Amino acid sequence: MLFIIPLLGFLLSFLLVYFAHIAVPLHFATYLSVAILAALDSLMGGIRAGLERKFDNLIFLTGFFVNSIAAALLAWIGDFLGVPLYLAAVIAFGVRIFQNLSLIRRLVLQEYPARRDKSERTR
Amino acid sequence: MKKELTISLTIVSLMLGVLLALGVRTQQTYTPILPTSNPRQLAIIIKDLQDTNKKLQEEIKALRNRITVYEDMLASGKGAIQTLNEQLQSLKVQMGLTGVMGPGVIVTVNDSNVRVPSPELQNFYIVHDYDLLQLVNELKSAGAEAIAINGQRLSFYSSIRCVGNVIQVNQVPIASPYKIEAIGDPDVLYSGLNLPGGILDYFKRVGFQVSVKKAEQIVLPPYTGMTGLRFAQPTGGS
Repeated sequence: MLFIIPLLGFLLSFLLVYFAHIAVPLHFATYLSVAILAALDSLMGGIRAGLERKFDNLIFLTGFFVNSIAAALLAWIGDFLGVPLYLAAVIAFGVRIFQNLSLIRRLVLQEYPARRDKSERTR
Repeated sequence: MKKELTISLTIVSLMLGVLLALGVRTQQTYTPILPTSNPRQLAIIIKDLQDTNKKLQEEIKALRNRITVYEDMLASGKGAIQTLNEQLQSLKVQMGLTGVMGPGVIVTVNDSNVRVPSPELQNFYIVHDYDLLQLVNELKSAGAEAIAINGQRLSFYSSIRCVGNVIQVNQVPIASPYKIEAIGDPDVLYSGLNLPGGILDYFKRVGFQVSVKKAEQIVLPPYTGMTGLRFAQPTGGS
């Protein structure tokens, strides 16, 4: 139940916008990709914190918005300087996504001691 | 706490969905236009196309020459055919399909050298397709019989338009400085351009570097663009 509603929300909004045929101007494509990564990163962080039972709503939401805005700002400054600074955000978010993913994997595996017991018995 | 977590995750999931869908749509919208987004590869593709274009234009020229040779051969035949051919040749001259020479004026226009007060106004200080169009129009109304811009001869089929940030004449990109050569009565053309409040006045006001010279002898190349009617049918009678 914890993750089903967010998943449904994701599918709903995705399909809604996808079939509305909206495209942003090409100029904003980099900002969009950075924003997607920021959202994905926040989501992973939130799921991890939820599994660790350390979830703090305020930290989660502010993290999402501040990260997105900072990344967009970085991309914008990069546009000005002619340096692809948005890559910094892409790499930072990418690394964090994978870190969180591995932590989530561990936490989920720990949540199923039954599976562990079984595997120990078969051993 | 669990409730809060679910709500927050849902909010961010909703946003992620919106952003992802936007991203996918944006990619779908813009990728089919170009085969690749790598500027270096695009430059190579452009270069290839330009080379092909050049070759094709040379081919057109060669084919036209051959047609002329055939027509000459025909003309050396019999009387009726000869007169027909004469008519044909004179029509070709009028259509701009042959090179022509004669007196006229040479106008050169270059982008403004006035210091642009702010980057937003930059657009007003460069020569646009419609500036050239207006100039050509002025020359035509002053009785110009043949006009070429940077060596691109204008015919009935000619177009002058802006594609991206270059002006294309007969679909061929040309660059500043623009040299417009017109054959006609040099004095009439000259004074037509220099009418008070006319086109040159306007050009000078925005700071374009313009010069108009009368010339004894101008040689203009033939029109090399597309010809031939696909849709228009003669209605008979004249």
